[in-house]
Parts: sequence; structure tokens; C-alpha cells
Amino acid sequence: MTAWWGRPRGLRARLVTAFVLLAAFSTTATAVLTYRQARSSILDRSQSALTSDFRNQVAALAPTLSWPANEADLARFMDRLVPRTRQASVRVVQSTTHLAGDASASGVPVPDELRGRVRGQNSYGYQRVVDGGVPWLVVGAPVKVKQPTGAKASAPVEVYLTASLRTEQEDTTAVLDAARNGALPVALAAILLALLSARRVLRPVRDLGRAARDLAEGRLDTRVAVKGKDELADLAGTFNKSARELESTVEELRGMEAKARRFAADVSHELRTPLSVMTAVTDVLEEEAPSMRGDAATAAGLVGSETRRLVRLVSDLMEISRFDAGAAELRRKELDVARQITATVQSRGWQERVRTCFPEGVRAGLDPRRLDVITANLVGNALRHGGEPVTVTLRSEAEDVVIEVADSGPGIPGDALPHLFDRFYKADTARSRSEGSGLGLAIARENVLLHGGELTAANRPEGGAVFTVRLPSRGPEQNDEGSRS
Amino acid sequence: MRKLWIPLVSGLLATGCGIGTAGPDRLDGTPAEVTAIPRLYWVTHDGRLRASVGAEYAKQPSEPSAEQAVRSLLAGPTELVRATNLDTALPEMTAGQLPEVTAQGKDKGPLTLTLPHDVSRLSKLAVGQLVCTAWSAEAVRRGDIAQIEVTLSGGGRRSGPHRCADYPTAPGPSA
Repeated sequence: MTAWWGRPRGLRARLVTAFVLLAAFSTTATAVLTYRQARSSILDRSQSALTSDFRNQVAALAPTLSWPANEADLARFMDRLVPRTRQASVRVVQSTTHLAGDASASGVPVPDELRGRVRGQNSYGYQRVVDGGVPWLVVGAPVKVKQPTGAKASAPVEVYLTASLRTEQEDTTAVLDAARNGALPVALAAILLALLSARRVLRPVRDLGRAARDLAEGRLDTRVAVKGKDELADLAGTFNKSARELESTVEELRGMEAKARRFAADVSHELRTPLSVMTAVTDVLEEEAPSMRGDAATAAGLVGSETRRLVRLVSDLMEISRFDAGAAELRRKELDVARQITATVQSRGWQERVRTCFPEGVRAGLDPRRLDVITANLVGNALRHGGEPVTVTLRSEAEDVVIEVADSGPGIPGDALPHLFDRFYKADTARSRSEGSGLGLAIARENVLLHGGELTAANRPEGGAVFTVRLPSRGPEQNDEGSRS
Repeated sequence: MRKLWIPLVSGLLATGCGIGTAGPDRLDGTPAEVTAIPRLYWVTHDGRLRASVGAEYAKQPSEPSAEQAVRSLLAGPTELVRATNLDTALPEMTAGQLPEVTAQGKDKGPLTLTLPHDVSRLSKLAVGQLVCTAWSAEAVRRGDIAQIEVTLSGGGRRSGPHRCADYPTAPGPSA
């Protein structure tokens, strides 16, 4: 089982990545925007309240302030200006003189830019500074001193409030913390959603894949369950329809092939009777041939040879039909392979034209009649279509017996090679009237397959063709018996 | 496309974490005003100094001078002043004895107050009254309420320098 996220570039991994990225991006964006909004509204509200309250109070209390103010006067004035709800302090300055106020209460000096605005432009003002990581709001109020005539002009008095914005900062940080704490659950939820979505898509895809593989392996009755109404369900429906069509077509073809084979078998069988009559008649004709004149004698000879050819063809056809019907039986007998092949060659009088190379003592459990058919066909082909000398080699390899029939002829043409073992295939059309029925190699191959072996044809590098027969030395039941005893 | 979101988000994050500096910004409003009036310092019943506006100054506080203020102080509290539970610690003086007040340095620096009686025999609060009254008037004249060092001189003795801030004061009513 592959990792839970599937293949690296697979559908599940891509879905998970996409979901997580989307979730991450949207939560981050939302958090950032919410935070900024919260910060500005929290901040704006507090600052607005602080500044306007201070300004209004200074304006209200100034008329009640005795001037010149002594210590007690100033203390009372400042005490009335300090907000009670947060850490703050008030200072009263005039020019370069610090008149009153505990500068160490907040430790934050009044910034020069603010002083410039309050003193220079004679207007209320406020500025925000950060000291030691804590934001402070400094609000400044100018107070004009009206002098009686004869007195020198007085510099304006400046009153400053320094208020801590720590609470506001903590509130805005809380928003950020909440967003950060929410990030992990959101990511997990996104992954979960992605996996669920992936599974919903992947499962039908996997089923379809498996069904396609089964179909490819030949199980034409494979069908897929159609669930739902989406594209995947359509695909499943199409697949089922295709499989059904394929199955019925294959059935049809098989039926047609079976019919054709049965026909061939029936025809061959029916032909036997007239053929046996014809053989008898042509035998008589050939006996009388010496006493016939010219053309009649040639005609008698011709009809005899053609009848014999027809008989061979029909018997080959019947042989093939037996293979097709599955009625062929294998009768294994323990035999000396070398001796069998030699007997085959000698019985057809080929011993002069065939070279044999046989080790001693190669024994196997094979069907002797069928072995004779195989060997005779291959050697006969080699002598007819290849060239002399024809070599037959035999060797024993592991569990198999290998027989090679090689000739020194021109070899097999490349385009003929794939069709060599087809029925009625003749490589050289000029030889259409040759002795062979066109079924020889096909029959040889069926005999080899019946043994559980294989028959291959190839061209030798040094020229000429070579046919290789590989047969298991023992059948499966013989192996069992061997191991039992 | 996929590679863009990292810098995008980082940019968003970087632009606004924490409360930063801002301003200075303007705040609307008319500046407040206080009127400078020299005040006379009297004594409360709990031993503190409290100011009140002298009668003549209420009407026309022009040409403030420490000498004038001290003279008014030495003339004693009026009925109105007594009505607000204020008293004086200074010995009464007749209108004939005019105290002399001199100041060193025109707009800055200490002040010397020359009086007709022995200043070493004055009580602490009496000294405070004189010092604060002189400072109050002089501060108005100078246009600067910074503390002034006042030295008292009289009867062959000198006392000081004193500052008004050294004496306990009570906040006064508004003018």
C-alpha cells in the first residue's frame, strides 16, 4: 500500500496540496485583513476618545486655573486631567521650563515634533510613539496666557498627556493569536476534506482501472458498477457497453470459427468414402496403365497421383480437425529419442541426405507416432524447401529435450516468418503444386503443443533455416509418479 | 502561479503587525486661555497659603508690580477675604509705612524685598505670604511663572533666599 497521500504526482497528493494551499491562503488573508481592521477600529476609538476628552477637559478647566499657578493649583489642574482608566501622566511646560508633572511616571518624553506643532502653531495635536515595545499616545494642548497691560508677553503654556496604549495593543494581538491558533485546525480540516474528496473520485477510477485490466486479460464478462450520475458514472456505463459489445462480438467470432472447423471436419469425413472408392479405382487403372496407349497411360498415372494427394490432404484435414475439436490424445511412452529419430529418417529413405548428431542415452516420455510426424515434417520441409545438407541435432536441457533441424538453403524470407505455421500458408507461391498440403507445419506445431512444448523457426547467421523443437521430457503425471515412487 | 502566494502573504503580514508610530496630527479646537492676575497670599486655618485677588486688581490689573502687591498685602485682609476663612500672619501696618521693594535684574534673577520691620521675627507663614505675593506679581510682570528667589531685608536683618514653592499652598478659587 503506498503512502496515505498516494503517488507524489497522483490525484490524491495534488488534491491535498491544492486544498491545503487554498485553506492556508484564505485563512491567512482573512486573518490579516481582520486583524488590520480590528486594530484600526480598536485604536481609532481609543485615540479619538483620549484626544477629544483631553482637549475638552483642558478647555473646561483652564478658566478655573489661577494664574500664576502655585504648586497646589497645578497639582489640582493636572489631577483633574489624568484619565483613571489607564496608565497615564500629565505634564505642564512653558518654553524650556518644566512647570509640573512627574516625567518619570511614564518615562516617555514629549516628542519634539508634537511640541513644535503645539507651541509653534498654537494648536492641539497628538502623536503616537513606541517606547520599549509599548505604544503611547501623547496629546498636547496649548494654553494662552493673557497678560495685563504693562506686563511682558508670556509664552504659551503647554499641557501634555501621555497615555499608554498597551491595552489596545494587547487586544489587537489577541486577534492575531486567535487567527494563528485557528490555522492548525483549519489546515487539518482542509487535509481531511481533500482526502475525502480524493477518495470519492479515486475509488471509481481505481475500480475502472481494475476492470480494464481484467478485460485486457481476457475476462470479457467484466462489468463495472455504475454509481451516481456524474462523469465517472457515464464512463462506467460506456465501459460496460463496450465490454458487452466486445464479449458478444468475440462470442460470434468463436461461434463462426467453431462452425467452420466443424464444417471442415464433416466434409473431410464425408470425403473419405468416395475417396476410398477412387483410390481403389485408380489402383486398378495404374495396374492397367502399361497396356494403355500414350495419353490414356499419362491420364491414368496423373489421376492416380492426384487421388493419392487428395487422400493425404483429407487425412491431414481430419488430423487438424481432431486438434481443433480437442479430441487429440497424447500417448506417452518411454523411449530413446535418438533411436526414434533415426528410425523416422531411415523409414523414408533420407539417411544419405540427412546428417545426424545424437548423444547417447537421451530418453524421454513422448508419443512415438506424433514424434515421428513432427520429425518427418520438419526434415521433409528442410529437404524440400531448404537445401542439403540437412542437419538434425538432439540435446537434453534441464527438463526438456531439444531437437534442431537445420538446412543450408536460402533461409526463410522475412515476411514469411510470422505466417510460417499458419494453415495452408505456402511461402513460395511457385510451389503451389508441390506435394505438401500446406498443413504440415501446422500439424507439426499442434503435435508439439500437445506435448506442452514449443516450436520455433529462425534463420541461421551462417545461412539457412533452423527449426527448434523443445519438448518436456516428462509429462506432469509422469513427474508426479516419479516423485511418488 | 503557485509560487506567488508566499511573497504575497508575507507582504500582507509585514505591513501591519503591532501598533506603530503615527503623527503628529492636528486636533481641532480653540486654544484655552488663562488670564494672568497678581494674587495676594493669605493663610488658611490649616496653615497653608492661599491666594486671592486683591480688590484693586480685580478691577484693573494693569502695571503689575511686586511692590504694589506687597503693599496691598501688608494693608491686611479685607472683609471679603476674611469671609473666605483666610487670615494674615503678617503684622499690621499703617498706611504711612510704605515698604520698599527692589529687584535685581530686570526680567530674570532674584528679588529683594526691603521691609520696614525686623524680618527675622516674621513667622514662616508670614515669610511665605510675602514671598509668594511678590513672586505672583513679579511672575505676571515678567511673563514667566518660574520660581523666583526672594530675599527679605529689613530691621538690619536678611532672610532668604526663599521660594514660594517651599511653602505649603492650597489651591485657590478661580478669579
